[in-house]
Amino acid sequence: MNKEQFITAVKDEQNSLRSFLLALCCGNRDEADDIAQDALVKAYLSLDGYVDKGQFHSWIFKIAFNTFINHKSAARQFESLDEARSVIGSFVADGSFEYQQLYLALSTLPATLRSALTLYYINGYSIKEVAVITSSSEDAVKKQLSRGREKLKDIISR
Amino acid sequence: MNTDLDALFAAAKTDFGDGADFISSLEEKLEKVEYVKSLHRQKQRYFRKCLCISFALGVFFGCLGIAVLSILPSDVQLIATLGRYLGGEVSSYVLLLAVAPLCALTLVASKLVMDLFEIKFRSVRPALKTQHRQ
Repeated sequence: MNKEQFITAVKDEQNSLRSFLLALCCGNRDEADDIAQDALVKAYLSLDGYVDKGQFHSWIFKIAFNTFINHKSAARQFESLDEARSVIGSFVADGSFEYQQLYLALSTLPATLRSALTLYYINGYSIKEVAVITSSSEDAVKKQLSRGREKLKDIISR
Repeated sequence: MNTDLDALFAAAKTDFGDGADFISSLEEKLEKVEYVKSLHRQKQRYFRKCLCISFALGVFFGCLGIAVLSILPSDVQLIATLGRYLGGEVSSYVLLLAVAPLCALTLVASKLVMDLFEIKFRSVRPALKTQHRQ
């Protein structure tokens, strides 16, 4: 895959990749785009190791996920909605209320649960694909989704 | 508050449009990556060239040394014999002059090999970051 082919492939995937990272970064668009760019540069540098089997999207998502995990924002987890609101409210204020509600709730979850929920619900990946992207087993993803759902429901219904 | 998670996630599917700004910014970064990669390739070529030259010189001086040693009789001491054969009293200096370039070339070649390996196994990312900061 050369540079032009890479950019064409990225154009097809950029929307879902950025949505994924935006949810992981709890609505911080600048931070999400920075991580996306960083991940894509890393992917470009690793192109030699990429074997084209029609799984470009999961390969890119895996790199993006790892880049996010290595990024400082992955370590950020708020104890309560109020704490999250005071920090996150500022950069998602221009977004819709629905988005804010979800981002605030997601920000109180650990990065692994956040990733599993985002990949499954927002990007529509199957459990198997989520397991590949997050380098976990399918059982672990199922548990993460179940725990994430419970926690999210609990937080949102408060 | 809305407790329907599916609806909540469905609402969060942001549309980024064609992402022209994002793609142009990415293209700019990839240009920089290509630039850094080309610098690395240039450096690698330079080191390979230096390595080949020093290898050739090493072989030449090595052959020269062996040739000198092979014409010496084996039952006499090297320095004294060399002095006799070269017909001078400064034979040890002559030998030193012959051996010194060989040692120097060995050192240079070792350094070049080490540099070459360093370039090969080092990622271009730190260099890219440095360039990005500038």
